[in-house]
Amino acid sequence: MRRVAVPPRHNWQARLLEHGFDFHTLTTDDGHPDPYWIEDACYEFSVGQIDELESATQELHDLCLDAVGEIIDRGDYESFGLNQSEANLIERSWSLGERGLYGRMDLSYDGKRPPKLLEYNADTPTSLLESSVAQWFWLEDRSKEGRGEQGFDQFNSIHEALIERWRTVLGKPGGWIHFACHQDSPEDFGTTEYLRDTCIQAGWKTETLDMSEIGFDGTQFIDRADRVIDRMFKLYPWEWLFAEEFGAHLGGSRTLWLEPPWKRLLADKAILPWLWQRHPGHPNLLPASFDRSAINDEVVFKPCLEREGQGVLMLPTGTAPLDSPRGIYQASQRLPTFDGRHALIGTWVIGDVACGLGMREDQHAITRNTSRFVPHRFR
Amino acid sequence: MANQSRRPKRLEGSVPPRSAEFGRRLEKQKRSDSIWLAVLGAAVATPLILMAGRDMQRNLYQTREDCVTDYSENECPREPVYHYGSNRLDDRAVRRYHGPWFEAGSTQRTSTDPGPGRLQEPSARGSFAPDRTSYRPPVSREYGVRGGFGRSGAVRAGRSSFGG
Repeated sequence: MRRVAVPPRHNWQARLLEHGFDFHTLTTDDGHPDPYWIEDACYEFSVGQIDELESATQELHDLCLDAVGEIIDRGDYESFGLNQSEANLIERSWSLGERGLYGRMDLSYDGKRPPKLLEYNADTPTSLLESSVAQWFWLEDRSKEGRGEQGFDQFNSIHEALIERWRTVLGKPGGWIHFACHQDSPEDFGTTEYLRDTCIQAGWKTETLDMSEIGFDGTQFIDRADRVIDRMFKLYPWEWLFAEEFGAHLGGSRTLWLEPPWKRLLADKAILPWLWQRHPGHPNLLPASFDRSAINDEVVFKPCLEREGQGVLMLPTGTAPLDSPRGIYQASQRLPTFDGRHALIGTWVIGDVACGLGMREDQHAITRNTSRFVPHRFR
Repeated sequence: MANQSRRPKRLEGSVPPRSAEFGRRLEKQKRSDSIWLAVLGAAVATPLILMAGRDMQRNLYQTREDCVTDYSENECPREPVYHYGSNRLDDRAVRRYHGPWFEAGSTQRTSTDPGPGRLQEPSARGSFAPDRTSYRPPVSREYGVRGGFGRSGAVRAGRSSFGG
């Protein structure tokens, strides 16, 4: 595994726009362009390393599904901060066999030691379009340009897997499904639009709306045109849905939600101590606990429900526990650095199959929503 | 496993990664039959949190002409609603034409709230003569709420993404 300097495509911005990736450059708070996608470098892996990442992701996902089943069997919801009505919805979605669409695992991996799970973004993962489409065409373009890319491949069958997964989740095509997110966020809107596109390619009719445009007619959730929402993909965290005013209607509505409510358990960092307790010493897990004193060394404090590195703190050895709302302590596994950048691996699970990888890097040790996406290749 | 391409060969380079609809910008169609988007438009100066979960209602008419008499051509959709707002046609469905959503309890037509209808406003009665003599008032009202989701996202709108 290494970071390799490569010349960017001469028309890379135009190429990204052609594929709908219009948030490749963001804007800083003071109005300056801030590149999110960079292609003057890439990460290069060996075949064996990709195999290792693939098998670790697959195994971790399987462990996670087992964990969800066990948590529900035991009714062990306290550590997840769930009330009874939320737990009921989760139980119902699990017992009905409602299927998940996608998820992204964040892994720490240096190419030498086994990959370690930092967290599982199983409910509202982003960086999907760049992983699935943008970096694939980067590889293809470079190959066509004869830039020495021949013989390289990419761990990436995300796009095809998504189309296939829609067919599995929704069944016979032809019906309607709604897609909602907070549309003022370019990244969320872009991710949702990409998923909607894969759903269209799977044969479904779609409608898009902002979360705030969802209505309730007294019995069912409705869209802008007052059509009942039978199926809804939402890029919006379950804990927010539960907490907001319409959350009270979730149990009584007939809407099929994607991701399904049981994904709320996996998106909660409380799953990390749960996994470690169940599989202590597993090579792809890090020690994790609700109790600071259970881990002697440097730890990372993670709020249970924050995203994009919000609230994450590194606590040196001997640090007292934080007086903070629900959070967990995870043994510190600092991200490997390449050319001074901290590299984070995101492996994609579509349905129940590991099938892709996206790299993000940051000057800081904690990956945030301002980190940069860098394409990858292997051979 | 790893010595094979991670892309199925049948799709490599041959299938566009997007359909014709991909990247379509949000068509925030201003629904002439609803105040909701007008309310959203006014939200520039009004935190969404204040609007969350407003009780709304709308009149149901036997004919679209009745609706237009109370409101306007633009505020009365041509498509009727069936069976209390669902478009599902079945033998028991009753066809109704609905007016725009207005805030429950309001009695006045404002720039952002179409109100309960011209002939339903007490202040207008007696001063507005409909062109049609066959006008029939709404047969019922539908109740609903909008804005009950999205508050958390709006509050945290300064961040670029709510995903992970």
